Amino acid sequence: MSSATTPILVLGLGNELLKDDAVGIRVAERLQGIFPPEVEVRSTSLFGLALLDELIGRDKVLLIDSYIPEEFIGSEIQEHNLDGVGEAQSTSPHFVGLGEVREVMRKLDLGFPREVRILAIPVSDPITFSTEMTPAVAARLPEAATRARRIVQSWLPVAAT
Amino acid sequence: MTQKITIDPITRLEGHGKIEIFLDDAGKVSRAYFQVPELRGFEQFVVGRPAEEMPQITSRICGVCPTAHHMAATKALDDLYQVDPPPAAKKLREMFYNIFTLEDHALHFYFLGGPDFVVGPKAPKAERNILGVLGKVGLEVGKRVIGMRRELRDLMSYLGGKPIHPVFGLPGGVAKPMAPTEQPRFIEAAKKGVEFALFTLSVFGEIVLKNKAYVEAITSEMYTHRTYYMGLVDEKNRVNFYDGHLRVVDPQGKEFGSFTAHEYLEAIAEHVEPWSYIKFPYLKKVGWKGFVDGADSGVYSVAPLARLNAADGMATRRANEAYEQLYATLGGKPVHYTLANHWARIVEMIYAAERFAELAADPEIVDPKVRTLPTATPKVGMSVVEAPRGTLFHHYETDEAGLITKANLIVATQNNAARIALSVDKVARALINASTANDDGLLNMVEMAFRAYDPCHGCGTHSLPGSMALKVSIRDAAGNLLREIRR
Repeated sequence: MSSATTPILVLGLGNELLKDDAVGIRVAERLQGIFPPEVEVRSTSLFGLALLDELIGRDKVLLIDSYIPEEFIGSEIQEHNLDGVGEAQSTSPHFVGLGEVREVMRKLDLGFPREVRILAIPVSDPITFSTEMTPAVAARLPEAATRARRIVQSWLPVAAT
Repeated sequence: MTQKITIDPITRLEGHGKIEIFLDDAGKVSRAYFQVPELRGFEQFVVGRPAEEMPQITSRICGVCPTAHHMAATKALDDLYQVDPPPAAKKLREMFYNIFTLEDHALHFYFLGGPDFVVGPKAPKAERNILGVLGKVGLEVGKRVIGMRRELRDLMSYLGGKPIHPVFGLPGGVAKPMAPTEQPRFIEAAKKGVEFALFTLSVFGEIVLKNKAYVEAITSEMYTHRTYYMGLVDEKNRVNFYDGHLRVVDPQGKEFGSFTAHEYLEAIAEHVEPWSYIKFPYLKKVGWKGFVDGADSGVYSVAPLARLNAADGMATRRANEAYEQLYATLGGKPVHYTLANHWARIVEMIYAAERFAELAADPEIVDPKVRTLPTATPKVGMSVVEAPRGTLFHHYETDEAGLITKANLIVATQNNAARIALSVDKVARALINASTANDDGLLNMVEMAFRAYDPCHGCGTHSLPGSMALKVSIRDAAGNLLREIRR
């Protein structure tokens, strides 16, 4: 497989029509244009095995996504690597995740990124059709963007930052 | 006596799929409920928006099968504006749609239907996943699927700008014609697609049909429901994903009726239950008799197996041969085994590839005339397509300026909702009692019940681990929680 032109990818995941599920995309929007050329910032509403298309040829990837906490009030933005992502347990195309994508890419020698980090933002309502996020979720955008920026900067040579 | 429990789907779901199982005084299952979070507020969201945005809006409902919504919306706009696309546009649309179906079905069979179908339902947990499938079919086959998928998506990108959320369908046609210089690429890709689909059938024959234990699992009573079946067919009652009329057959396989997209409200009604946001469509003429199957129940099924059951055959040669082989093997029509959906999917793969090949080679498909401009005043638009997972209806009503005043969608999973509920309930009754052991086995067998339908629930609520979070609660007759299994 040929390498993508940019080895570092920042990918906002979400659905802009489903209220808080847009948060990953909104964070990615805030990161546009602030990194050097070796970093590409994108957004997608796709998931499952379609993530494979985004990851092939990348060296490092930051995924920005939402999560549903047990209790929204007091919940924290979380950072993860793939250690916490379980083994492949594919059930349907609608619920294939990073575990499956990672295993497929490794098994088929498709060049899974050396490092994948996940920035997960707690949300309250990702299932109501709306283009407006819950105010409390929208209020976390600056913090999330700052944390994402720190992660990417840790990957860059000092001179590039 | 079983205590009546009121379940509030809002407060309890928390983004998880949830199964509530109630036991009676004897410790046996009195009822099992399958609940998932439902996308809310769609009809309110679209009111006031231009109907022409619907192919873009609705394609964002689902991150796995957006093309189905895009096509249904496009056809609904044709109807809304009373405009008939030129022949080249219809052929491009149908070809685009068959490319999508071929890719989706291939992905499902090799990577996702595998745990139940290729690896086998009783395989160890560590093998019941994509890796287990790749282990069975071989890594070279896995690479071939990925390569073919990429090629098909490139073709869709050529036609629609991008494979997902394409800018393709317009009222009265499509956004751009196919250049004659591109036609050979499509023809070659279609040829490879047919070869691969036939190869898939041979893989299936080797791995599944020769495995007696697996055939027994397919035909087991636990995964059998004798319902009505519905699917889109052409004028000769052959399966068609893009256009035609809907045909319904009864549990004995006899034609029960047929209707067009415009008539769907006369044919289908929706039943409401207090424990679920999802409504349960049923056949009006038969009526709602509860979550039961049989000829006296209006519960029906959609998706690959239902499409094959509702049709008299496939419109292309090799697909029709595969269709006949399926029924000859499983004892004739109709087939009621839910797990046979995975086999039916392969038959449809062959049809999608062959139809793709027919259209790609059609001289008319490179005609530059691909749009008829609408001139009529919009009012009502209805359409139907066959999404990979089943029948999909779109219905819009607008004011004279084309702004939406009302919209209704019935998606494939909704069409199957009653049968899915039946499946979960039946498996739970067969497997669960007060002393059921082995959480993993229980979860797997219950999941198989709805996995064959590949339900699309809350597509935007993907989770980090990817797998659908599931919580199974088992309660006694008084409603007290006996055990909870989470994944």
